[in-house]
Amino acid sequence: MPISYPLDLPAFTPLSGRLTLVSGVVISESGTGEMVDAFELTEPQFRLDLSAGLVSNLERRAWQAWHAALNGAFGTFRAPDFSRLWPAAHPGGFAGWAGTATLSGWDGAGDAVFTGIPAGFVLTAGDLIQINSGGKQTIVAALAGSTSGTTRTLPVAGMIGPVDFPVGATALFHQPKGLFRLTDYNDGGSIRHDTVTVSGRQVLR
Amino acid sequence: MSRAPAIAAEFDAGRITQRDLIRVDFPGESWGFCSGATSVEWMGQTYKPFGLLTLEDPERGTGQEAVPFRLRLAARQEFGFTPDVISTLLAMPWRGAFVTAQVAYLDARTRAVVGVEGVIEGVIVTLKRSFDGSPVWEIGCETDQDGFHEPGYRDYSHADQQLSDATDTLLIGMEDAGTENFYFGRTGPKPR
Repeated sequence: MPISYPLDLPAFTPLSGRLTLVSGVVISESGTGEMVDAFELTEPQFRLDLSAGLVSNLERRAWQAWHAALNGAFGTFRAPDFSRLWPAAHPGGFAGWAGTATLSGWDGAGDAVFTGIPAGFVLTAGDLIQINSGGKQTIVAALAGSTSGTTRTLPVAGMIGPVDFPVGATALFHQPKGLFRLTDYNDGGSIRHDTVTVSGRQVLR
Repeated sequence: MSRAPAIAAEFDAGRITQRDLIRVDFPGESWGFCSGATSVEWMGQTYKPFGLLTLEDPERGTGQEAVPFRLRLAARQEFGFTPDVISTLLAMPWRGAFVTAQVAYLDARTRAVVGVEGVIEGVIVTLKRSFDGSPVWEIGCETDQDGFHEPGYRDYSHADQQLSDATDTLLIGMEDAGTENFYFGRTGPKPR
């Protein structure tokens, strides 16, 4: 069976892992530090730090095969933030809804407009949303909460722009995942139970 | 000349969102590259991100001499700029293609382009593939002072170029404004 990217994480291992948004803003200080200007050179991007706890020898083999299939950073993989797998208000998901909505536009203030959300769905600031369009995949963090309505207008932060993720993009509120390339991998290597750690940097495709 | 008010407002707030834009104009189509992580749209052209941009030696002169500068583009697979696609530059009529380097200022919230300022313009002279952590294209350019004419000297023209390569039409549109004096059978100016 040919390997097709992006890969999913090995399924059976209990994981802890989080996504950290790394800002693309640099500070430019004058020589004496009186002036501080902020330059944004790129959109914020997520960094992935994941740990698979104590894995058995068998589980480590699955990780080793996954790592080998990636061939370092050659392949891409999908990963969620395990502490933000579900919306904070709906652990396990909003009943009767698959979590899929539509990015229907961008308002004048730069907020994303989502449609097709159940009226009673509660979104909390810090919840993550996966957005797919034209083969690209990104994950963004909601910067404000929202409690009612089937259309929600939200400020979001992440690697996103109206050109690459235009109107009509699919938005996923349940178990959102980002797309990553491997920057670091360690499976301990001891014969006993050991931890597997994985780090990655976000890409869009 | 002051800046456009929308750019000035961002600068006054000490909050500058900027992307570097490179546009290469081939006959019939333009390629746009930008820094950053997502695409930028400006004046009907989509600028797609690539891994690395440096603009080297962008010196300016007031004379009529063309000034060289160099651009470096790295492949960016996510946006379709694989090393292979970048290589298709070679199949384009790249020699003499017009290159424009600009800085785009974006609204910090909406990331809409609020204004663009020019950096340098020129034409492609050399293309070189190299490897610097990732596959890199080095595009050697020079400013287009070649279009200026120095009086009293003969221009290398389309006809001359046809003698060396009948298929090369690079100079076909070149203005033939120069003059050359032949002194045959009469006395020319004395050597100085």
